[in-house]
Amino acid sequence: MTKIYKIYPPNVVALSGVDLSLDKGEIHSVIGENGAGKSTLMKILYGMIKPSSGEIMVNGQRVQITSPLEAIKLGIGMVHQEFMLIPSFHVYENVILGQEKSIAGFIKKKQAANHVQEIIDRYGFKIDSNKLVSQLSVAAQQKVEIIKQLYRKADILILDEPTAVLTPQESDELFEQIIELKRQGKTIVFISHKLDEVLKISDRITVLRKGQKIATVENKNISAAELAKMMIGRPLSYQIKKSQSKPKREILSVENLSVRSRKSDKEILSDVNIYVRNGEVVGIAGIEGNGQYELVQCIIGKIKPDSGRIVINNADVTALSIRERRRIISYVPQDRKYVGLALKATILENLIMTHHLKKEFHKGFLSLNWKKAKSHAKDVTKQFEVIYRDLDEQPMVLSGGNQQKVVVAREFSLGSDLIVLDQPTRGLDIASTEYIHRLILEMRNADKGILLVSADLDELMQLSDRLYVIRDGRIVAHFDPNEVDAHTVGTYMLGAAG
Amino acid sequence: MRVFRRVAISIISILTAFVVCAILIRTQKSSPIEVYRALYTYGLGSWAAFSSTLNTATPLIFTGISAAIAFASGVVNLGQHGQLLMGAVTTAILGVYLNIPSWLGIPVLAVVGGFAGALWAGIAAMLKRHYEMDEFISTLMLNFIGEYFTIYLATYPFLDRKAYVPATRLIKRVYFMPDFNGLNVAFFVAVFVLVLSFWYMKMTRQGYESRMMGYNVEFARVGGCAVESNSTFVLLFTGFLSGLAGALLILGGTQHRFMKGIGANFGWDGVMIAIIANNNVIETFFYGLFFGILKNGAIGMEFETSVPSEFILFLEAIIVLCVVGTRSAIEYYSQAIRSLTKLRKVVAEK
Repeated sequence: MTKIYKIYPPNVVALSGVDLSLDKGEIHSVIGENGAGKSTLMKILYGMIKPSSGEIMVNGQRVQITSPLEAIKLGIGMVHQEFMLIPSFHVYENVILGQEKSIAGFIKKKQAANHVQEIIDRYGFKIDSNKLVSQLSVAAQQKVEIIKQLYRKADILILDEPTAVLTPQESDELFEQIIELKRQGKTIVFISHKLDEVLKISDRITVLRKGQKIATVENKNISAAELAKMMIGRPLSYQIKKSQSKPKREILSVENLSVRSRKSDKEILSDVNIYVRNGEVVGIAGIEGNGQYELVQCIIGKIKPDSGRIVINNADVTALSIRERRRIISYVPQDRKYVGLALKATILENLIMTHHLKKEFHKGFLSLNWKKAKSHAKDVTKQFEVIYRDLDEQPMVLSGGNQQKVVVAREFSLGSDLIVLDQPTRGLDIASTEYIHRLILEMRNADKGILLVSADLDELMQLSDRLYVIRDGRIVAHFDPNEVDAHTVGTYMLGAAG
Repeated sequence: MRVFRRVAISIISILTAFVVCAILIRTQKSSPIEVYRALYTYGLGSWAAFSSTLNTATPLIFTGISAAIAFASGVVNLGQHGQLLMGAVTTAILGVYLNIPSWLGIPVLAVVGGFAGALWAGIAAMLKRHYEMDEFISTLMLNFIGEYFTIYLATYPFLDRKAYVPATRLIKRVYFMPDFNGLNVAFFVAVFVLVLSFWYMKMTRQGYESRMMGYNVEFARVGGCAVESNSTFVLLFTGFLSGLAGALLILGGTQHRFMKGIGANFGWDGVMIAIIANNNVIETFFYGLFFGILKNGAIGMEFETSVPSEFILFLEAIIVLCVVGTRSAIEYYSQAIRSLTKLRKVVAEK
């Protein structure tokens, strides 16, 4: 790929003259912060989006990749971050979907299953092609995605942040698999922003920053610090220091909380007991989909629990509505685009949500005090370093980091004792992540009680004073993160411990 | 800047629509200039024409604002037609039997008509609140029930035996709404409703919550907005506005009685106007006026030229397509141009 440019309308430069060359049979990592253009570059290679200019050569031939179908014909396959599988189908059915061989419209199922199993065995995966996808773990589903690409005879495999959803143990297993694929002559493009992983498996590394290629280096005698410097343009000054927390009183206590799913009659949360005290960050670790989302929804009042109590500041809030609870809870939802913000409203309107319930934002019997709203918006954008042009603009035009700052500014300025954070740094670049981490610690030092749910184990280990591990809707462990390492936590997340 | 842009888009698209229609008139061997001149003369040309235009526009403004407020709040009230009819029939029946002085009777009848509309929308609100039934389908279906229920009332229990068509008796003369020089008081009520609605949507806390629900209901819910009660209120309020439109049609219009077909197409025109106005209350008002000009001018156009008044429906449809199309086209091309210039700049910098 040479001189690839991509401008997202109206004027966001995603890629600016990026070159990338892949050798046969290598593992080539593409690294960069969120928003550096990794995904965009890969989507161009896979034909999902059109470059604004630039050319792509495959095996010495100039090609136009206008659709994923075209890419597959050229032997390029991609495994996305979100899996595209049908849970109620068998593994082999998912693999052949779209490329099934049929006789007069009928698929020879047995033959197909055998063929898929052959591929699975050839590359050393340990999966039964006759299992239902819904019965597989996330890690196994990811393997099905890879097998799907191999079935389509992909020679170049693009893996977009494959370890983001895996525990440390599962990641190690995936790496072995990747190296096996390489041995059999496949070219692998590995997208990541985790440097240790990149150093572990790649042959060459391409670093992107702000849509530009900084360098392509051989993976010899290069350190994580050097890569980090290339990635963010300055040395990583990333060290979280915090004092011992001295909690005195309980702010949140969740007692014997159980939630049963209406659809499947399965227990999503069973008998959960946690507490958060003032001046501490309490982390919830777990593989996604193990009940942490529902736990947060119960706390803010969106889900009514089947049994159990939620107590905030010694008052039982179990029966209260979201509206009443939001007067005492600050909440950063995991999905900033669809829950955290109204992208089509103005920045000002986004900043005063929930604040509008407070007396000082009222004017007269019915009206909103817009003057107060404006001064509030100006104050908090300054305090939380939100970069914007005009308060009347839509948050749509802001960068991801700035959007999240709008959410955080709004919530942290509410002044509630309890702050619930659900994946507060997901998808943010390093600088914004660092900034938000600093704010979280500031809030902690200001004696707030903070509940932090995150899929990023490093984040949890660094920030938390105490750490719960949730699995299958149960709290399975409760640690002081200073006394355990990430691997131990990972074992509990997987349910492999005792 | 935003306001300027929106006005510009509206003007450009309306002009485009007129040009497209001119070509079509031409192919039918009529003169577009004559047609448009007739439209102008009978829609705007004199005070008589203009006041009559404002009277024509009045119900459209009510149903338009009703739809605009509902849509902007994420509440899909499509029941303007039924609500208007319920308001009209209530006012028409009470206007025959009620016996109070004029100064009190007119406002009471208007408000009672409004409440009848609110009550009709309230059925949908109740179904939504208690059974999570989508108001989209319930308001739509209530239109049909309302339509035939009101016709039943006018055909059997309250039929005026002297009328040639199913109609109720004429309301008492004291309840006729006065007009000034041909401009009916109902229009001033419409202006008042415009101001009230604008204030509600822009200034009040509940209006803020409603608008946020329209932008993103999950955002509003999680932010602590009273989503359920706001939705109920918006349904009732917009139902009230439609009912008021019906009441004023009886008190202020020309017939002063409920008859089959009195609702015309006001409900659906209101929905259409709200859509082209992007659910903005002020824009809805102006599009309401504009469609009033067309409807009123159409009568004169038919009178003076060989083009039938149905042509106006055609022109309206073209205008809707042009406004919506121009809006997205301008958006699309201005973005494409901006990204192209940016690309040039970025490449040049390299």
